[in-house]
Amino acid sequence: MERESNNSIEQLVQLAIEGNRDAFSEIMKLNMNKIFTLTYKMTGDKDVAKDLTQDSFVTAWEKIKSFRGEGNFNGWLLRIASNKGLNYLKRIKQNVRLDNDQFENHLQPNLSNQPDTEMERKEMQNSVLYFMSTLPVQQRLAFELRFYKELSFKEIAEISGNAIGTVKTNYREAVKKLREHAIEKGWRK
Amino acid sequence: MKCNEVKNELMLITDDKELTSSLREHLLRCADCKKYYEEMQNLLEDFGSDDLFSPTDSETDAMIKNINNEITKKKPTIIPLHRYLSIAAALILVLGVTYIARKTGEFDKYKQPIYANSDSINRAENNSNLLNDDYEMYGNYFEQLNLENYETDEEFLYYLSDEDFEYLEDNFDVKELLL
Repeated sequence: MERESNNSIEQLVQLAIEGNRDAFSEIMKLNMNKIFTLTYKMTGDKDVAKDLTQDSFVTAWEKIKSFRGEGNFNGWLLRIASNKGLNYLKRIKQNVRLDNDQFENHLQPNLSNQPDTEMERKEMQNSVLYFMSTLPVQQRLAFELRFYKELSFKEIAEISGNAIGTVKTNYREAVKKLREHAIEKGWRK
Repeated sequence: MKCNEVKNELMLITDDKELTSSLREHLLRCADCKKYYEEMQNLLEDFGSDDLFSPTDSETDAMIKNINNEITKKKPTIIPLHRYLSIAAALILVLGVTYIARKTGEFDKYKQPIYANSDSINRAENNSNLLNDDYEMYGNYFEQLNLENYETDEEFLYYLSDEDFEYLEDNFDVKELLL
């Protein structure tokens, strides 16, 4: 969950630019969830997500003086984390497609925004991670930023460095696959 | 708008508020597209939320701690002010001494005067004569070779005696001659 802060994000960023470590800690607390969930779903690996999240914030601290308020800070942070995720996937040179066998027992999860039990929650997590792993990385990023982070296509284009048209195509392809995936798994007719 | 185009647009929508008036109008009169849109929205709505992947508070705290440690490790070493002052003082000293020495002519003491003597004058004259001799000798040599008798450089080299070739090789850059 996002944590509360007394200062606005703009004030915190300004203080962090001036070298205030406490302000930067506040920024981390406010954005940790966003960055972690992004890297988690991109890589499908919780430990890798932790490393990439930490790495993203260290980079953000090192480069914060170069942030001149152009665009929003949220997008700037997400761009750093997205690049970390993409670089990681490029480095390991594989599409991190998760093993389908792992999900054989979860072909028909109880889809709901609020899973009641820990097991349902885990099943839901697995379903999402498996689906995400079947997407090419750029589609995965577009789906993550659009659907989960609720960003506009323009913002996603700025973060991913792709044209808006490309981002829309990537997202559309991901949604088509989600629909096919749901039909295949019997979630939807 | 055709239904296919509408469905393509609907796929990009994650919230009803994003529906344009033309899409709304189409959904009002097309049951198939309306059904498609509702199904899509339900599917997306059901497909979990970010909360499923949130780190626990202890995981968040551990990450923040690690990040802070990493930042502290990477903190650049700050050179204390007194170090800067001592470097500045040393520079001022060196530049000051150099300036004063130039002003007072101290450096002139170490300049080596060059005196012309009979030996150096003779050596220069000899060198000059040698150069004139060489120039004359090479000129005569080329005249003897009658270069105009040969149509190409290759022809010239073909008829050149070993002795002449050796002489040319020792005294000229053959590549330059051929150019």
